[in-house]
Amino acid sequence: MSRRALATSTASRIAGVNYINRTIAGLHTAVHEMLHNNAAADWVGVVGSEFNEGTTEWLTQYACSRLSPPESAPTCYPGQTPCVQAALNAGLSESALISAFLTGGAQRSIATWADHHCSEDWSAIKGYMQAQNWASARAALQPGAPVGVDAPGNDVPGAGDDGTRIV
Amino acid sequence: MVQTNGPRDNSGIDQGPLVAELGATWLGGLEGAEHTRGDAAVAGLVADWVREASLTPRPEGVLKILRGDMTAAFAKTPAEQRVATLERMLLQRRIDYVAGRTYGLGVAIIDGTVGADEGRERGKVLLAECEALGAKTRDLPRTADNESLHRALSEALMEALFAVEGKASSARLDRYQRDHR
Repeated sequence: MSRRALATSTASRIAGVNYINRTIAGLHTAVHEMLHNNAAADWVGVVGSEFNEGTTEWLTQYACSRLSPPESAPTCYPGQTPCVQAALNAGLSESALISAFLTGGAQRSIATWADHHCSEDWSAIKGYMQAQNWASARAALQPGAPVGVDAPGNDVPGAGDDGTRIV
Repeated sequence: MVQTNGPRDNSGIDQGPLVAELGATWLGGLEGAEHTRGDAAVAGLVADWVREASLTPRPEGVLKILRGDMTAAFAKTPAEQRVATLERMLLQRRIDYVAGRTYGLGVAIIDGTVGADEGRERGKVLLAECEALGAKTRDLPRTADNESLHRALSEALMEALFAVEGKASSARLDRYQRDHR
């Protein structure tokens, strides 16, 4: 990453070290960057950079709200985070999301779950997000049969339903 | 939907009724230059909404989400700030649009589906677009709300430079390059 990028970034990770720009960062920035450091090895490759940022921000807000006293964590990814919320609204369980982020299995927990439960498949959803077409991603994440697919399956193991957990 | 002579794209969505409806809803009471600015922002937003929606199999669903977002944003916006809010929304969308294309170009260069010469030429076009948007963001106050906009444009700028120079890059493109080396 160049000096030019560093000067305008809130935080950057170089050679395993997080550099946080204290002039524009808050406690939530440290939480956010530490969460990135603890993401499962398969996470970003499966979900893409944008769903990754949205989930990391969702987790940051989740964690900061549980601090004592609670710490405010603003929405810094206004396009990405609502897409993650749309997945949760469509039935993806919080535990499946957290487990996929921290311990792995995103292909099954996120991609295959979306293929079976959302209006469009994960490949399309990820494509919309990488193109930063946020409303298209949120529309595609709504529950329903993917275009061209008959009936949605509701039996993807290990994801979506609160009765199933990935260990 | 009512048919008009408004701009139309491949999806068949007629922008005219939507521009008229949003203008009537959000620009009521404005006059003169303020109304002209508001009209231009609404027309720009609707054109970009349709650009996005037309790429999906359910364009009406996408437009419904975008209209809902606008209603939610305006619920907490005083009437005198509506034009500025519309212009900021448009700027955000233009930055999102260029950032999606700079990332896509960077990925194509890394994957080898776009050669260095073509990448450089396309990168120059995107770089000019980023710099034009940069001129518009320069005067925005450094509020938390605007940080996301500055960050997204900064990433897009670095990715355009990656295409042109092959050196600097964004964090997300660095990551992609690491994973696909």
